[in-house]
Amino acid sequence: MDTATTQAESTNCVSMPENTADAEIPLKITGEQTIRNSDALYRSLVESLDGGASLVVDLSEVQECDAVLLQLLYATRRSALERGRGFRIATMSPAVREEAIALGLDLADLVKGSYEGAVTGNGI
Amino acid sequence: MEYNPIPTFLAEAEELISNIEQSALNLGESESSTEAINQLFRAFHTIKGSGAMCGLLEVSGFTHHVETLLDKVREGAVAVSPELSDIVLAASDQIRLLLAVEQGGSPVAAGSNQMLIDRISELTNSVIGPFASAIPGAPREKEAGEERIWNIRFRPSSDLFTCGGNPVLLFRDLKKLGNCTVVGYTDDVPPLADIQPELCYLRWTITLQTKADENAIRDVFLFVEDGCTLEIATAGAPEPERGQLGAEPEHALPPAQNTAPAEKHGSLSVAGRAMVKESTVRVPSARLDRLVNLVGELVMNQSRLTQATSQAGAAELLNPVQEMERLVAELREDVLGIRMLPIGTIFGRFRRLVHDLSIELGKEVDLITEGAETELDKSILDQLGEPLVHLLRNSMDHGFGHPDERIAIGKPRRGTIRLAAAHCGSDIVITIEDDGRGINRAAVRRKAIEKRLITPTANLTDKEILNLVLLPGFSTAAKVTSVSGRGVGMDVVKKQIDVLRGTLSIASEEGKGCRVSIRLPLTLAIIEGLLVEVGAEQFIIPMASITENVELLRTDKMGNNARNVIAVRGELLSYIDLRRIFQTDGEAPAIEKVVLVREEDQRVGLLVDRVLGTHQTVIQSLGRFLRTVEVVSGATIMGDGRVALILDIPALVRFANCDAEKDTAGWGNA
Repeated sequence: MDTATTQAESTNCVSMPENTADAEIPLKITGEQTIRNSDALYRSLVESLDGGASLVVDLSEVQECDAVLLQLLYATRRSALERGRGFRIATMSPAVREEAIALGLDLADLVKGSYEGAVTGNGI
Repeated sequence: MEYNPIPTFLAEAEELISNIEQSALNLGESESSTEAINQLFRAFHTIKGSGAMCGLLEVSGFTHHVETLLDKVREGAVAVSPELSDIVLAASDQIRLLLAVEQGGSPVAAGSNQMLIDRISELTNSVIGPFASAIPGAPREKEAGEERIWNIRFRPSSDLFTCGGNPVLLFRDLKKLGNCTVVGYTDDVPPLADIQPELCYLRWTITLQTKADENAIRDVFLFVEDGCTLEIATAGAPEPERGQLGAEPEHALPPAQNTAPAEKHGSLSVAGRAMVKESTVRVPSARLDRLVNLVGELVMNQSRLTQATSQAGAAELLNPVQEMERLVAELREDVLGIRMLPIGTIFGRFRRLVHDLSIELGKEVDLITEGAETELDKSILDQLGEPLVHLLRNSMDHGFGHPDERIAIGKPRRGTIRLAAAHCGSDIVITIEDDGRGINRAAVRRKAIEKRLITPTANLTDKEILNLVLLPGFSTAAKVTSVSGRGVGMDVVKKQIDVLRGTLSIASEEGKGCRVSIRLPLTLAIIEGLLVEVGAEQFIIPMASITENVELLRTDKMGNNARNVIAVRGELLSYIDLRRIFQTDGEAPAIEKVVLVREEDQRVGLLVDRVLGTHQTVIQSLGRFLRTVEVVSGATIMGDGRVALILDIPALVRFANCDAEKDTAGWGNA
């Protein structure tokens, strides 16, 4: 599985590999992810989901986020499950983790399946 | 363009200050003191917070002191007293002045802020003791200082994020009150295809262990409470049933069990202590006026379209045009409905006026208001404030004696003014009734003779004597006071009511009191009228003033020596010849019509060529250049594109009177 992603120059970006034929599509979300750029994130999530495979989201380089990001991740997970696909968060940055804790959201469902790895890799 | 929040804040603050005045005046009533204090605290808290957000630091700084005082009152440390009420009113006046500065007003008097802050601080520090409850009947939540566990259920408005709300900051504020556990629920988050990313679909339950009371907890949510559902209960309170706000978290439920947000909301609205506010939109009234004007033009255009379709005989257009007519009529009703406001919005300031005047004049008078919910077009409401203020001032100044004087004649020490509003058909009737001295007819008559308004021998009916007070320059006050008695009031009131197409009547029983009744149309935008024709011109006569139509034969007209009078069932009535007033060309027909109208208990006829029928019309202003034309109140465009003038009956009668004085052969010589 190809998990290599391209880091865009902008402070916030969403990047995907061109090959989407694999069973899992890695999706890397970086930079600032707040209501200010929620439209761009929304479009990327829709495109990724339309790719036809399960989504693995990398949030390790999200520097700042708010409830809008987390809401969109829950929406994506719900859509993925409805289409019979997988969805999980592989890694997450302290900013995402802190926002989730402050909002009282249990991200266990979102990281399910790779929970151990996430804990090991990013100290959730 | 960058959004400027200050105008919105100023409008909101004006509303809050009005509410503050009402709550401050309610402080004396023991049963409502707790609620009044809570409302006051919240209003000042909002002004402080919003003011600071807008950078109006002087406003927020000043308001902070009042908020501190009110917090002490809520705690039971400072007593509710007349002094508190006075300070709160003075503080609201001061805030109004500070806000006026922001709108280009003159700066507040030097040192006035500090003087008031000193008074506030003095009262704040006059603590009445740790175990005394200042508010009668207030729960002594803070007295025991017990730590309690609160269960809070919070579902924010969906526009929380777009309005700048951040739940994390709220929860941080809650944590300052005590140990706090927050659990978020995501079961209402829709699939990606249905989500609007910037809306909030989350909800929370929070367990808070604190010594703070419910008010302190609610204050945390103060800026996000619009449209939110907030339940706060102590841990012992009964739990809501499953499916309400406290349903299990999404991660404990399989996705299939997720309930649609709309269904969830239904169950929320029945929750006992849920606080759901109706969402409102603040719109500048100029935009509404523009909307009403556009609808007016649409109605007129529709009328032309209907006429053109009927003339063209295009059967295939008939149904769509009729449907359009129905929709336009509905649109007109709805748009006019938007401008309707409860009259209570101006009643509020009258309570303050009566309160202040009672102190100034050393009289004890209560104002009782009824029918505050009665709705009236905003354009009328805006012009009604001043006449009502003057009537109340008059009543306070002339109608009431000092309390001792009242007791001496066997009346209760405190006087009462009843201000009532009620719908009556397509009109609204506003009554101002007092239990004061009533109008002294002999004094009125004496004064009218002295002012040469009537001759000493004039034989007047009771009603005519009372109506003398409405004449320009009339005043029976022995001295001119700052309140009233300048003799310029009642005639101005009468004129203003005339402008609003209303009527004013006075009734009074000496020694018992006085009642002034004002009857006004509900809206000035639309008028039900009778369409008449004189030569090639069309006019609209307001239907409300019409009593009947009679025919006038040319022979009868000549038979009265061209003195404009007509005999109607044995009664001789004067009529106004519209052909003459408007200098219309052409010969009058052999049989003319006299439309009889009632103007202040006087029946007057309007002579026209033909009566064409009833006509509901949208009133259009004549514009700046024709503003001085008195005899018409506006114009409307007819179906065929012609302009019809709408007659202003009181002004027309006045004009004809003046005309008759110049030309004794004119009308009114009956």
